[in-house]
Amino acid sequence: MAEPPSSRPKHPPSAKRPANEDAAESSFTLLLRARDGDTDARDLLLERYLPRLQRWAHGRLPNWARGSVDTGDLVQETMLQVFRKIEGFEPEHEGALIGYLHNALTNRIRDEIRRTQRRGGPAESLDERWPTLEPSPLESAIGEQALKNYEDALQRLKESDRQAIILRIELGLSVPEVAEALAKSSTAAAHMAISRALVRLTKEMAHGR
Amino acid sequence: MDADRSEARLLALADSIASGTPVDWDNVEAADADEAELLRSLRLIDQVAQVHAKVATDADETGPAGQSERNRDTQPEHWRHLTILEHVGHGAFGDVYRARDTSLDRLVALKLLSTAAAPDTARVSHLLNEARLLARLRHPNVVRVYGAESTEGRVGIWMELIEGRTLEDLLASHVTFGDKEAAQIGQQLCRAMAAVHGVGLVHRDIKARNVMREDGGRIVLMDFGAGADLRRTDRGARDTLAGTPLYLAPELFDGGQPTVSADIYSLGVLLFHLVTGFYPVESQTRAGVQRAHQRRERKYLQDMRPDLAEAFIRVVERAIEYDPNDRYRTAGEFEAALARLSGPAQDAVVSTPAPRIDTVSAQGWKRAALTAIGAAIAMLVVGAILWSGIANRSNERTPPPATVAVREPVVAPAPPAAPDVQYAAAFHAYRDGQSPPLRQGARVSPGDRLFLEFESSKPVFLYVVNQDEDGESYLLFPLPAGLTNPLPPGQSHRLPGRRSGEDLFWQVSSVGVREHFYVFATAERPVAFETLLAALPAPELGKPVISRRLPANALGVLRAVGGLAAGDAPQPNAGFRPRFPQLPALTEGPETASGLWEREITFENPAR
Repeated sequence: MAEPPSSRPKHPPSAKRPANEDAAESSFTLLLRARDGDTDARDLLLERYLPRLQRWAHGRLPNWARGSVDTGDLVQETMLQVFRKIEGFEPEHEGALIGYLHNALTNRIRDEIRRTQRRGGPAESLDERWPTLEPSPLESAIGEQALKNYEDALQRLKESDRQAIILRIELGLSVPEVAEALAKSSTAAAHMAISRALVRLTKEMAHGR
Repeated sequence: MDADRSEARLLALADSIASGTPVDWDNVEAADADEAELLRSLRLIDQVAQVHAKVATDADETGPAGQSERNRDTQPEHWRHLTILEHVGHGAFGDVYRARDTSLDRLVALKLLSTAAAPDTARVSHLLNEARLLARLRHPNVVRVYGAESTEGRVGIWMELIEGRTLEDLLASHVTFGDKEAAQIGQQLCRAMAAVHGVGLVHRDIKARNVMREDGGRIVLMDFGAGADLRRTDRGARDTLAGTPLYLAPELFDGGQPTVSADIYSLGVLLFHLVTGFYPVESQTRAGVQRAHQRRERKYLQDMRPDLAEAFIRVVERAIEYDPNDRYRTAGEFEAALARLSGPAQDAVVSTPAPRIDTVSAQGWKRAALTAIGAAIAMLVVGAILWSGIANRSNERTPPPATVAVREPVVAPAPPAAPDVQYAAAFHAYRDGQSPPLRQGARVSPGDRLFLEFESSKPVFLYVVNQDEDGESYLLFPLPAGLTNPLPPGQSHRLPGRRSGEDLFWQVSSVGVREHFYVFATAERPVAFETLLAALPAPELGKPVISRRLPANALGVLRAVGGLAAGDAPQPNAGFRPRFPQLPALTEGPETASGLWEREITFENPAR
């Protein structure tokens, strides 16, 4: 297993670490343990990634959908579902898990939006005066079309590029954290991987349509 | 640019994004025009990163325990010469604080833009320039910007502190506005827009949430966070996409640049929204709104509010025409069209803070009436009285009053200016198990419990005011609990209403000389008057006195607003002429009026 260098900053401060491992148990180890049914490991992973994924989901959920579902619950539920189906998952590194979680959450959010629309779609909303018909923060900032272009292009990238971008750009992990998650040999290597992934994404967005 | 250089350039920019270094995108895009498509895509990725960072920061600030400490640390106590007093709001662009300008000793609103929202230097200088342009603008309907600076990485804009409510708040807590009110608000906003356009800016985000009605009635256009400089030619995609899609002119969805015409469209949508509560085009997604525009699917004001003046409907419909060429060309042209609706002498009253009674005395019969009633207030009210609400015991139910006004539906064609409303009303005193109707000059005495039977043919806003011995006015209706305006039509209401399942009365609790009641009703919500009411401290439940004291100018404002009904002279066929201050004991039977319906009734309350 590729152990990350020891000098880098660690995970979010809330992450508890077992004392018996050397300094810090990597998420990857936790992931392997969780996969094999260790609920403590699963909870530690949850604790480590929940806040970040919640914040991420916050940017993706439209305001009006947020009212009908608690973002925190949604993320937690989705994570637990992922962990339940995790047997047989053979990750190369923890970045793979995050990529997997990201996919699951994206789908879950889309489902949630569809469900909310069905419950109180435009026809019904006429009676209720919808206070917030605005799209998600991300969509309102860059526009629906641009966002779709970005997401479609992201899906066309190879998995390692996609993970690098999700970790750094969407989840806001620091470059050293990305290095750990992607099991890179150094921060510089992670930095280069992110930059190259960004260039490929740019080309995909500009020309790949 | 050759391929290698292009690749190296892209990688360098990607590297900046990866390390979180701000990129001056405007300059980059201007310098490499032939790589525009790639650069736009890269810039977009940068934006995605920034929005995520921003949302994460916001979530932390509003989030539950664990994040609050950090939040306290980041909440500044001072910003330059301003002492920050309290956090009053949070928007997409940062936080708003109430602050004191220590050098000038005045309160201001300070908007501190979050660094995540404006990380690149070009954006910062753009915002500063924009704020400085606005600072040169002085217009009563535009929030006054005092200054803008960037200090220690934070951009701050400090401006006039407006005490009031946004139109969105007002819509949320009331029913919709009438066409005259909407037209007057629209006129003030047109003037605001004209001033903004005059300095070379477009607002781009005109919506109910960005317009405040100051306590006192002034309409103020706020929030230029999304404003754009008309002279800029290098706007990126994000500039055009600012603003709520529901208010966004159709041409902007296709990448069009923000224009004066798009602002006019947004104001048209706002007026549509004020009178209907809906939007011409509604969908829950931006794409849905865009699709509806493409198919020319939208709501028409005529269908939603056929009761509104036709001229008003035409003006609004023209402002929201699909083709910009079909809309008003300038804010001034729009304003002139709105002004023609409401007649010459009225908007001044609402656009200035609460007019004093003695300054509105000279024009027309309405003004003359006002003077007369002002004199009546000063001369006649000498009695001492306390109006207290008491709950009827449950075994002491009110018998049906002897006089119940009868409604006869009126099917008269509505005049263009204001709809006809039929009114019937009678005061009653409840004493000894009886509740006789009270006529002008009737005698009341301590222990009497008074109530008003009231009915109208349309939903109306009703106000009952009493004057105390000092000439101060008290609001006896509406009260914070129980019956609220507008009163539904076609049924008899018993005022002041019920609370906790028991009837309320106005109780005569001490002797006086004369008691004056003023009863006002109008089909359109009197905005300025209600603003005055909103500023009053609400009486608390359980307190004996459930009247609310009105500022001296309140009646003047109500009347001034009533005066907004152009041609609101009573219907000739109603056989009724206002005879202030001596009016019949409310109504002798159903009667019809348009605009403001007002009655005064005086009861004798002599010392025994």
